[in-house]
Amino acid sequence: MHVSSLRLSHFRNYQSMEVGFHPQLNLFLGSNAQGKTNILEALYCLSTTRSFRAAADEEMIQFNQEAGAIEGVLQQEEGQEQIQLELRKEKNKVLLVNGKKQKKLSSLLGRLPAVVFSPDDLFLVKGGPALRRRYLDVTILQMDQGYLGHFQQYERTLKQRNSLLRQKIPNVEAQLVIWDEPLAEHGAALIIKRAEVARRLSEFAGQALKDLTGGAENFEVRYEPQLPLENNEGSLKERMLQALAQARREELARGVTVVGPHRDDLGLWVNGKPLRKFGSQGQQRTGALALKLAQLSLLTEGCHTAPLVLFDDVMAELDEKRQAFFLNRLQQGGQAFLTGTSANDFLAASKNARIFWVEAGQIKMTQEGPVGA
Amino acid sequence: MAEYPPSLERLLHELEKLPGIGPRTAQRLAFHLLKQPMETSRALSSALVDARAKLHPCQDCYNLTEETLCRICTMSTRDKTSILVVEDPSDVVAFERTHEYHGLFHVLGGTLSPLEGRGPQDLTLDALVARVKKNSNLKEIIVATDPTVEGDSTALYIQQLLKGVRIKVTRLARGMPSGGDVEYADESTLLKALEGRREI
Repeated sequence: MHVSSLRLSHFRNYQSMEVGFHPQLNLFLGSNAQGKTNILEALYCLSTTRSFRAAADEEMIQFNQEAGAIEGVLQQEEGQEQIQLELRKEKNKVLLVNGKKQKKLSSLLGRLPAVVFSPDDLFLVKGGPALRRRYLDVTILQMDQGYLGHFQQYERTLKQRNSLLRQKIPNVEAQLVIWDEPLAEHGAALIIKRAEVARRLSEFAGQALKDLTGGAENFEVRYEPQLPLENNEGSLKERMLQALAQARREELARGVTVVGPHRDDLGLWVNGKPLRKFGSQGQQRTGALALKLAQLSLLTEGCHTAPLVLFDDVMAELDEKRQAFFLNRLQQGGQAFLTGTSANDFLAASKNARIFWVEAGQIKMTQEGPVGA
Repeated sequence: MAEYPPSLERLLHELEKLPGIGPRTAQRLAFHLLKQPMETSRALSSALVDARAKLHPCQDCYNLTEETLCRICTMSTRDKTSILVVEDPSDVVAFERTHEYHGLFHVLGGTLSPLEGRGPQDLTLDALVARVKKNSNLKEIIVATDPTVEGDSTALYIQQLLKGVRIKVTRLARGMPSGGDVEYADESTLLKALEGRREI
């Protein structure tokens, strides 16, 4: 499957544009701040319903406009599918598939898996646990429909529970315990699934790091829950209920839920040392790349179709050997979209790509790329 | 954009406050009403004011009624040994349509939801407990709140409230909808359906 065309209206700096893509390699060239990343962002929205820049929906609507839209055509073996995402100010966005309005935005998840490589990936290593949990959740959500229900209900329960804790009502105990139950039930399901996926990611990430460095460094990704891990959901749920009971006083004092997978982390270890603390800048960057490559491998394995690869301005940061490695990796996978300032960043790959020149919200094809691919 | 005359502006504003009605639907409704004879608008507004003035919660079950007690609570043929607890009066209508439930109802007026500032005192929970204690024939409380996080938690709260009372508290089964397709059911629905399976 690939995205054969994309139409944007009132999206970021695009008033209105339509573009046809190459089924394999697409390069977007241009100076900074012309709208290259916006195209990748739009594609990512079609994949996951949101931005990878952690932007609110409203920020993606063109300045001074009330609404914006992203429309993509997916080319599959069975035929075409049109996906439209309408962004509206102060309202929820609307998803249409083949012109039919969908009840749930989440029905989009997994249809068009995608992995983004961006300079911000470094924060996966250097930043706080929230970013690593997000990385893990986004990976699982694209592969596993069952995760979504637990994920949404956990988030909802957590919000309700925190809201109750903040209200500082006397004798709140009887009201609090009724939220413990769903928190522990869905929390346990999240932990088990995350730990399972982290183990698989660890294998892929270890291999990716070896591929990148050609070296002997041992990279390990571990799900690090605050509660001791159990093998089955039932006993983990029990453990979580106990922990909640024990944390009652602290939670009441602080007005926030302190037990649960919303506080867990994904540990990154190189040769037995935490990468975040002991890695050099270069090692951390390589670690982040390996994590993204692992996500790509896992989604390739776990989804029905090869994920889109969105490569935002990272080529220039890589040395020649790694560039070659990536381009080779891209050619084995699904459709890829790369941004950069000049064709020189892409070595020989630019021969096999469709190339676009992006300037001030206008996009122009300058090379069609190989046909019949 | 052309400005509306003040009275039309006001009408649109009021319509837009209703659930499920955005600016476009409000506009469509307003222009439709304005095309009709005056009598249509008069009938609508008097029906609205009349309903609002006459309807109030039933003293026992909090379903909507024009009397002190609702029709269901006064019917001698109803089975007084069970109470079915629902969120809203519209849920009562849904169960009545089945013609299979012959017991009494209790309308909570929503679910517990700290986010929306709704605590136990905002629901008719005290009244439910009082009813249960007063009615010695009662055998079963069926909790039929929605299968959402809030509905489930409210059910749990009710179960706790009634812990001291020797009465059966049950929760509506959840699982596959009739006419549904096993292949397309999501995992949690299938799981619940499996848990609640019955011998045939």
